[in-house]
Amino acid sequence: MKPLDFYFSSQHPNEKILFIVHRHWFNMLVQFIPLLSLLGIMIISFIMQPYIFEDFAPEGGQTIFFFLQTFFLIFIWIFGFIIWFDYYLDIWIITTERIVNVEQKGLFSRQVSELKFNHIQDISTDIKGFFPTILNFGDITVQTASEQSHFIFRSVGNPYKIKSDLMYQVKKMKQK
Amino acid sequence: MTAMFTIIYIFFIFFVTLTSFFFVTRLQKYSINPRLTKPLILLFIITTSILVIINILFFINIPFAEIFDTVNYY
Repeated sequence: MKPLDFYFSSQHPNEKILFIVHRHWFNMLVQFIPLLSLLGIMIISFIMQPYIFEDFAPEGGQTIFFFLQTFFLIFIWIFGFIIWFDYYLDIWIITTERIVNVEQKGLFSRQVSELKFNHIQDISTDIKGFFPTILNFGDITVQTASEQSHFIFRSVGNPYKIKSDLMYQVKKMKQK
Repeated sequence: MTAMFTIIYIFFIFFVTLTSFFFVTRLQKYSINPRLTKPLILLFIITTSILVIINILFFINIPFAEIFDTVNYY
């Protein structure tokens, strides 16, 4: 497995990143649905605007309408980026030595935990539901011998492949 | 009333600016792939700035005096 050319802040000198796991894109899409609905309503109102304002046009009505449109567009834009930001920075980094679990909770809260391969006791996968089965994503639970009894990779794509890659690394570490 | 709306609006712009600032700084600090995130940060800053400027232009063109006269009339 060829190491990736990325770096993270607590990376050890000889440690290489093997692969990076994010949550499946469907998980992010579900969070975008309310924003996309709001965007759809805004577009429809923008299209309907000439017909509405033809009939009753209070002084400055159109200006207020466009002001409110851009106001809500700013909110949609920023919340859309925050959803992506949360998705992008929730990351599992699998290196040659350990698994690093980074969980970004909002803009100001971040939890980083790590698990060395020689502490892993068991790995199991769980795909439940119609969309997870069709799109092949699910949870991976890593049982450990450390203080934190298990690690969970939530809603990750191709969980069986990730599990077999992790098992390979665990086996390789135990053979050393 | 106009002053009140203006103050509320200034707070809103301040909130947007602060959120954007923290968003950009967090992303720069924690991103594992700067080659992907740098153009996205630029896109975010440019688009947000354009939207805020357009929003401000609409806000300063709202005829508050006429609207409040109409409201008072009714």
